[in-house]
Amino acid sequence: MKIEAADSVDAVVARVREVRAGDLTFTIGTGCCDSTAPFLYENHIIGADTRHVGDAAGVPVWAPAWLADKYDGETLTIDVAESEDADSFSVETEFGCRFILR
Amino acid sequence: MSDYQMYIDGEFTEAESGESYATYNPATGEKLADVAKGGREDVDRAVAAARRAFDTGPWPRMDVKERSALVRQMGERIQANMDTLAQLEVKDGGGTIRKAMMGDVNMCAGVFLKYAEYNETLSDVEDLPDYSLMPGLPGVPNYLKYEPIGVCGQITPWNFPLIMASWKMAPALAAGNTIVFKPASITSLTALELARIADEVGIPPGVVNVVTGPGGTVGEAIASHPGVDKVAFTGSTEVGSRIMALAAPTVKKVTLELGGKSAAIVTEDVNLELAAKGVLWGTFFHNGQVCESGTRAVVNEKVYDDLMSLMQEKAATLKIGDPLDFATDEGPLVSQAQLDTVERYVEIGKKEAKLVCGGERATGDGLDNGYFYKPTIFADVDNGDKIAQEEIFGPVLSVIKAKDDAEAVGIANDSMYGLAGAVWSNDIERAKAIAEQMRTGTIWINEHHLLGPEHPFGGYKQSGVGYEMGIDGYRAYQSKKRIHVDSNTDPNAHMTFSLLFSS
Repeated sequence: MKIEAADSVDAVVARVREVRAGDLTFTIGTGCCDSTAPFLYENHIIGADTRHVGDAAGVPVWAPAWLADKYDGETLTIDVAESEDADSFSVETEFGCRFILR
Repeated sequence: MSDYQMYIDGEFTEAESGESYATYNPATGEKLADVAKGGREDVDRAVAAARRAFDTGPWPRMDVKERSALVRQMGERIQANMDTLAQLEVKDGGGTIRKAMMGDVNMCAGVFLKYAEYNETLSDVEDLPDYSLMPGLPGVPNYLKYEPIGVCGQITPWNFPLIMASWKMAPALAAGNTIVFKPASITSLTALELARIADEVGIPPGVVNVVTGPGGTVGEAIASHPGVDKVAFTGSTEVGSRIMALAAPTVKKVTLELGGKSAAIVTEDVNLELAAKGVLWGTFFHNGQVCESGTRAVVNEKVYDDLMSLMQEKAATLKIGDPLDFATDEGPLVSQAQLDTVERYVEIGKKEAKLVCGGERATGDGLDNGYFYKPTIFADVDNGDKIAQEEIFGPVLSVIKAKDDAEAVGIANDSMYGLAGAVWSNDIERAKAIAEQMRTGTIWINEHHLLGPEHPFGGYKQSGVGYEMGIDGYRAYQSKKRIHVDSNTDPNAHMTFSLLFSS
């Protein structure tokens, strides 16, 4: 799995950095009601079975190793979907948008 | 002003920021209501109210009969408001009116009634045995006292808003805790109705607080707030893990009910009509937006082809349409985002396996503006495929072939999740042997989805921590205090002192 970022990610991450001084990381989820989506967290603990799969807007992106293996040789893109009722613990939801994977 | 305000300290209130957000009807794509968009400062207000209500208010100190009567009244009012609540649940979150009335409202009310009963009938005091390692010690009474934990942060997903709220609120309230509750942003309305009911029956201010808003602020603030003693969450494994991390610095108690990719094992001796209907019921109920759905069917190769044909036939009979029509079997998915996810996975599935039915949006007949998707079945799926390992949370069934029971169990257990599962078989002893080898928290034999407020529900592996429902779900909102009572006041009669004093 290799992760790239759409240009729209830069502005959202910049906005997050204005209100959060801690280290930011993206992790890739595995499903359920939050969908398989990138989660942007501040000061998050990265698990031992997690692999660095790219960077988006200067933020490292991590994925569970088994998931990274499933997408071996594939490139996925983090993008931004505007939605005012955006939810999940991903921090950009404060700004009425949600990172998605495509 | 918002159509739906938050409920903090006994008052319906706007967010401090004054912001609100729109929530939509997934069947039509139309705006349903404006909801107050809470933030960190609103969580601070709610936690302060809940803290005060717990530390000095009447709720934890109330006579058990009085408190359980209020929790019971909530259940009764929920039942009495079935029509209104069911309609609102469907308009806000999709599903069908049949599900909302027979499932959602019924269970929500029943959970409140059950925990009122537990609060009345389960003793909060238990005797403990004497000290077995100190046989010389005369019988010294020792007992356990169960006490409420304190302020409980509770966060729920969008798939079953009323039921998930009841699983969280009812045991916490019955046991004497106070709560700060955050519903999913896209389905917040019925939780606010429950707050209104709590207010009407006279639950004191500060005991129930409902803060609406995004997880990135409201959720994060609840899970990390120093004034919160316990966090309970239902939702994705990814967010559950984040909540544990946020709760860690202040060592909060944590209960998590997380994702699943449950297997339905079908043996070759099965009644095929039963298995076909049963596997579809296990997968397509509520469009598969259920954490314990049996989205991987693991089918014995001897009946694989026959079952596939029957399932295709029966899936085609499911009526997709207006969720408020009692004749509708499948309503819309919850949101555009969920529809996008399903479409993305179906494209992945087409490369990995064989699409045998569905695989596209349901359109026409007034469906075009809603998030409707046809029940989709993939055949010849390998358990290593993405569609077999990642939770799609949509109407997508992956069918996997197995040569015998041992292989089927191996496939079922080859998952990061361990929430639930099913076995479809005419041989009950064989089915039980299979069930006992499956590494999951709930298994149905010849059934699926059936849960009761008397039965504990929890996940193995990365599907969760702790239990909800049943007596376990009640005790999960209590702390245990052991009290040792030695009535002997003679300083020379305490043999333990000799460990320190030599003379």
